[in-house]
Amino acid sequence: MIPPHDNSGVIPTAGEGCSDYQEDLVRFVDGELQGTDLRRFEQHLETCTECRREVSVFQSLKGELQAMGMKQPEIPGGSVWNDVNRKVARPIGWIFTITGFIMYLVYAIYTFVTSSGNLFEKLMIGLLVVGFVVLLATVAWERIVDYRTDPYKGVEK
Amino acid sequence: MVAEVERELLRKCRAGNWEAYEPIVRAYEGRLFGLALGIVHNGDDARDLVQDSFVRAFKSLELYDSDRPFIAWILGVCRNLCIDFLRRRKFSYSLDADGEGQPIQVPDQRARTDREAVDGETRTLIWEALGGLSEDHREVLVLKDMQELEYCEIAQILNVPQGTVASRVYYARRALRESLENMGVDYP
Ligand SMILES: [Zn+2]
Repeated sequence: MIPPHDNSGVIPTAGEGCSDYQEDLVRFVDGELQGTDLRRFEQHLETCTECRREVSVFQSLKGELQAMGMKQPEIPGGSVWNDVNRKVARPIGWIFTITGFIMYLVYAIYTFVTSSGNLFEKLMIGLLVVGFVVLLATVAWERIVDYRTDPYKGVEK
Repeated sequence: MVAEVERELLRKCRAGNWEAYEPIVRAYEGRLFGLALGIVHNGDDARDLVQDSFVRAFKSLELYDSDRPFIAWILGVCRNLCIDFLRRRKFSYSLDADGEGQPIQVPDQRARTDREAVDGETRTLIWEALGGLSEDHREVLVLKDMQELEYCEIAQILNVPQGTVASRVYYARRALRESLENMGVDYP
């Protein structure tokens, strides 16, 4: 069916009313124009040298872009799977490691406290271990603070 | 990739089995790399962006609507990361006088015969011209003519109506042609 505003009986001068056809023109080049729209545009093409020229330019540009073979080029350095795997698996690994460590710690403390042996000896060993853990924790905390104030952070908005 | 196999692998991924993710990554990394390279125009950055896209997608798999092809969704994730990357780069370079001073890499896929040398030269010019277009124009040409997606798919990725996509494609092609003409390539 021809839409009422169709002016196929009139021969327009080149370029007149072409701006109405911009979307149709690219859809036509990309093979996505159908039905009435397609027929209307084809009628316009018959009378419009400007649009015919534009269609042929666009077709050759499209052809050249496709010929570059950039749909799925080879990745320099090969597959990204190993890097993805590391980044995806690492958080899961941390959860297991930390859970295991805490469970082990609780068990060790329980065993230590309930074991036979004199109180003084337990106190000495206990102080040594607690002191060591506190030292380790402060060093780790400094590292985390350093990492957070990394200048790279400033790059983000 | 066969749709049922893909669905089954993604179901396992959602359950936290990251090893099921490997065939998915290997199947689509080339597509993502093509998209990222087209948009950011630098191989190393494109590779990093592909990696980040897959990591980001894995972490937000619950947002993926399984009625849609996975490739369309992950291309969208990758496109968003590429645009963020370009904005960040522009921001961090805004103090430099020469703006986006990144070297442009021309993809060179194979050894050339004489005939291909001529084609190669045109490709180099087109690649350069593409790199000089605005972000909006470049991405829409990469999605349409390099990734060979349909208007409806591009509309979903860019989150704009199909008409807007068509009109962007129109102006992008005009801009590309103009830029090639400025480089001395004539179109009849
Ligand atoms: Zn016309």
